[in-house]
Amino acid sequence: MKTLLCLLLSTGLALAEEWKSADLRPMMGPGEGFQSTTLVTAGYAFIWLLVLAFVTSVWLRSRRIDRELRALEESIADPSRVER
Amino acid sequence: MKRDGLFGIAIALLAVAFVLVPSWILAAPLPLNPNGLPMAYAQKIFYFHVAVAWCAFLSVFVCAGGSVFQLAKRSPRGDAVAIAAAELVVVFGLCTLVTGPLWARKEWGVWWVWKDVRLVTMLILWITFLAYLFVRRYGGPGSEQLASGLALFGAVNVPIVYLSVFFWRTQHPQGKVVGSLDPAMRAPFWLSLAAFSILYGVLFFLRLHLERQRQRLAEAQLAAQDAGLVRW
Amino acid sequence: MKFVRSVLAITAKELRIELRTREVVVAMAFFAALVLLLFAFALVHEGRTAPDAAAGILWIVIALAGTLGLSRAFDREREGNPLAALLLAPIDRPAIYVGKLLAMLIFLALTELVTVPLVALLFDAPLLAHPIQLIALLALGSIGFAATGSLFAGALVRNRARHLLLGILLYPLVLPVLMAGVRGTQALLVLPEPDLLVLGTWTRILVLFDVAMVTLSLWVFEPLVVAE
Repeated sequence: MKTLLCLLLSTGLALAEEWKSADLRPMMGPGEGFQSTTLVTAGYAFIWLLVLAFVTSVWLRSRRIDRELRALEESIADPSRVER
Repeated sequence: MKRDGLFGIAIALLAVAFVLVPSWILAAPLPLNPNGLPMAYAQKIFYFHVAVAWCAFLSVFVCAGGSVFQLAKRSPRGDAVAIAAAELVVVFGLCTLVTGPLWARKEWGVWWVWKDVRLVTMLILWITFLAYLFVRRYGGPGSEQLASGLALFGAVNVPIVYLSVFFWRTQHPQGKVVGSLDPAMRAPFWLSLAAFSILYGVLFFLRLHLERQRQRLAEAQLAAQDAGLVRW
Repeated sequence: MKFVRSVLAITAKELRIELRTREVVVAMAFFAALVLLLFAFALVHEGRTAPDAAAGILWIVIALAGTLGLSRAFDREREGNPLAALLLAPIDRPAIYVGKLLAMLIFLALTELVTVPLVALLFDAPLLAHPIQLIALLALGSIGFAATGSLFAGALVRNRARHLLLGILLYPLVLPVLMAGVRGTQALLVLPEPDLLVLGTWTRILVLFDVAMVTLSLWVFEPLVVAE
């Protein structure tokens, strides 16, 4: 564990030293043709739509578990029924 | 019922956050870009991009923690924590991967930079957790252990992703941006981070609750079968 | 010392099986050559390829052939279940893992012995100009790949869907290693002189990944493979 941490640290420091001298590339120019408002709205809407989809999926799966639980209860009450 | 209560809280929080957070964010001033000019309005994406990325990373560690318990103790609770967190890594990771390019298109002029280590490692992390869900779904018996191993290896990726921004001079802004924020940007930034963390917590417990119910149902089905109460 | 002896005994066992059947290495090398030919058909136009392509092709072929080799080498563990017998033996469990890993590394090295000259030939790449750096990169990359691969192939031995799952589990986890290998090799291929600064950086990253992956594999080998 200690060796691992030391190695992680030393590698990190070595990398930091090297890249200080080697510059990568200049910033590219800003993009044209896309309204900032559109991009911000799209990003924000995407997050909430995805969250909504996730909540819906959890809710649907939760309902299925309820259904299976009810089926189990019924088949315990009436063993002649064959479940599924 | 407990579940309905949780859903109620979740929806109420979502509604509040949906209105409150953006209004603060939009009022904050725009920072300067490396060329000394004010950034494009698209910079507003920063507030929720960082917040969802934080949630994704948090979720990776939650998943790794659950996986350790799953592997070491065969704990079903740890397993439920791991799978709930893994699904949220995929959700928030996708949010990060979508909002990032939207900003990059405006500021850098491109959607994606393949040479940027941070972008690529985030993508790899996301794919790892997609693979986690795939293994859980199609792995058959014994897939819990496999998936836990996958999650642990995936979690090793995270520090490397985070540190890569400091060690490599990548195009992606450095993490220390947060420390140097304009005071007027700070409040909405932290508020957004807090709001998304709470959202993460609510979603996590929703999913965890579902997984525990599923495990209990499976146990009950097996027990009923063993006791001869049910014919299959 | 006992640990080293156990490791060597297991590696020797693997190599003896391989010497008798020769199926893993021959299949890996043949498959690698076939994939290389496919790349040559697809990418070489009038004797020229994209400048950086050779580095990527080399590592993709190593990953594909490596996965094939892992599948076969661990499928042997199903026939008569020798893995269960090994796990019962009075040796450290990590020794089993390290022994398997060493054998896998030797198989990979033999495959690379065929692959590298073929890549240099087919894609006209100056791969052999700096053999020491190339060997270092290949060795480090292979360790990262084989460490993760042996762990998950071992864990999958009893799984019905193992051939399907191996690729899905393995590729996301070794992508960083492969990426570092590709970038390092690209730096090596820069003409007229290799970009030693970039090469050094990626070599260090490979070391970092190797250490992390071998350590983690040693930790989780027991709960993952000794399941049930």
